[in-house]
Order: sequence, then structure tokens, then C-alpha cells
Amino acid sequence: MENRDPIPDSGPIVRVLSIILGLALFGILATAVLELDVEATGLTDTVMERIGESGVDHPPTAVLLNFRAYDTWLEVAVLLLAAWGALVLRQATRLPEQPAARSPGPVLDWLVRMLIPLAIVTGVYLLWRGTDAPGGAFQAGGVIGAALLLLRLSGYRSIGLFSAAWLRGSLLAGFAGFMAIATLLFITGWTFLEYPPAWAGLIIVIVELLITWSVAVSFVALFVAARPDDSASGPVGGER
Amino acid sequence: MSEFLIYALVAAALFAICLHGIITRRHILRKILALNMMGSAVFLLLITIAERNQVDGVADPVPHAMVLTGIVVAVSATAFALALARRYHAQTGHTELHDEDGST
Repeated sequence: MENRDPIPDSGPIVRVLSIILGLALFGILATAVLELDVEATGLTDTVMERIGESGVDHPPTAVLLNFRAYDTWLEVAVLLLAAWGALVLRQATRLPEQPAARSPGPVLDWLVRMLIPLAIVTGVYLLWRGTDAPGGAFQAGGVIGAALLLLRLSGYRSIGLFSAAWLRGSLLAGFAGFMAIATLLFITGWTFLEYPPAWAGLIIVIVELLITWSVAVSFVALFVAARPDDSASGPVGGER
Repeated sequence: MSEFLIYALVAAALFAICLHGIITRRHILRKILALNMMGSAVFLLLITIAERNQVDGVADPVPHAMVLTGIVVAVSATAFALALARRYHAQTGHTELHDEDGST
């Protein structure tokens, strides 16, 4: 199959039509862009005025986890759906174990032992720094997810150890924790996803911790579940 | 021409080029890449707006945060699309979309 001819792209007529369409779209977009003000301040002043109430000092973090927490909550939902969808495609409730534990060799083995603790420390640091500098749950989740993947790719057991309930719980933690806190505050008289300024810092750290774990596991789940079965080779027939 | 307009027009051009890519390329992977790049064009515009809106060296955090949100959504969508593509390839052996009757 790999030796097959490259797939031909669309014929000349489609190409020409597509170029015309592309130019027309560029014309529309460029007109829209040219109408924008070249100088403006947007919402910068509004955010900086109220940042004291957000519980964090880094403006983007304040917007992400407080002022526009809705966006972040639903972003976690998208990630959850993607990871879940990948698992459904595999018709699996847990991720497969690494096929046969290969011997990583002394160099890789040493490197993994050095890098994993370093990655965990870096991840937690990024999470904590998110309150006053670039960083936060998604960056931290990315680093910790990479650590889990490194373990798996170098032949150690990692995500395959998770039971179905653990995997599901880990994927859900960020979305469900976010919703639980918002609902609790809603019941006690605040607007949905509004935080009391005195507690905002603590709430943001708790939510970020849960999101970090969910993001890490979701990334690994997407990576692992997207791979076809390691045992199967070639097209799978009659599986459905 | 101001710096803002240069970046904004590049974003518009990138978006249009990616549309061309989605229409004319047959390979699923290329279509997914074009879609992903289309998202990047939008991020470029948002970052440009964040930069334009800066006050006292602080870039507008709202478009900035939107890009951060968008990146994760784009990564999720791309990863899921790739999972679908691999499943499709495993099931049919094709790397391009076909109709039910086998014609392209």
C-alpha cells in the first residue's frame, strides 16, 4: 500500500475555481481587517482595573480562569470529548498496555530516570507560576502528559495501568471539578462561574490542579488511542 | 502600512490559502493540516489585536486568553480528526475520502 502512486489532487477546473474562491475570501477578509482601527486599547484597561478581584496577578490567567471562566470550562469539555471520542473509536474503556516491555538500554534508562522527576517539578512549577507569569494548567498538563508518554515510549508501564474507572475519572476531573465548584457557588447565591474575590485565588488553584491532571491524561489518551492496535497490521476487516 | 495591518493581512491571506488547500488536496492528512493552519491564521490575527491593544506594555489579555483557549481546542480537534483518519485507513485502506460506491 505504501508503494501506491501518490493520490492525485483535484483537476485543473476545481483548482481554478478554488483559487478564485480563495482570492474572493481574501478580498472579504482583507476588507474586514482594513476596517479595524489601527490604534485601540480594547479591553486592556477594563481587565487591569478589576484584576485585584480576580485572585491572580497575571492578566491572561485572570481572564482565563475568572473573567471568562466559561471559555475555559467549555475548552476542557472539548478536550474531554476529543479524548473520549478517541477511546470510543477504539471501542476501549482503558488504554492498552505497552505490548512487550523492551529493554530501554542503559542510556535511555538513565535519561528517563532523570527526566521524569524533572518533568514533574517543571509541571508543578508552571502551574504555580501561572498566577503571576505565563504558565498555568494547560502548559503544566502538557509537560506532565509528555512525562507519561516518555515513560510509555521507553517501555515502562504508565497509562496502561489505569483501570477504566481511573481513566474515566482522570479525564473527567477538570470538567466535573470546575462545574462542581461553579454549581456550589451558584447555590450559595453567586452567579454561575463567578467567584467571591476573597476566595478566588484558592478556587483558581484547585480548578487548575484538576485541569492539569485531566489535560495530561487526555493528551496521552489521544496519543495512545489514535494509534491502531500494535498487534494488528494492515486493514482490519469485519471488526464492526 | 502599519505593522498591525501587515500581520492582519498575512492572517487573512493564510486563511484563504488554507481554504484552497482543503478544497484541492485529496489526502486526508493534508486536509487536516490545512484546517489546523486555518486556525493558526485566526490565532495570528488575535495575537496581532492583543499586541495592538496594549496599554503600558500589557497586551490585551482577552484576545490573548482566547488564543490560549483556541490552541487547546485546535489540538483536540486535530487529534480527534487524526484518530478518525487512522480508523478510516485501518477500515478501508484509503487515505482519501471516497463515496459509498467507491468513486472519488
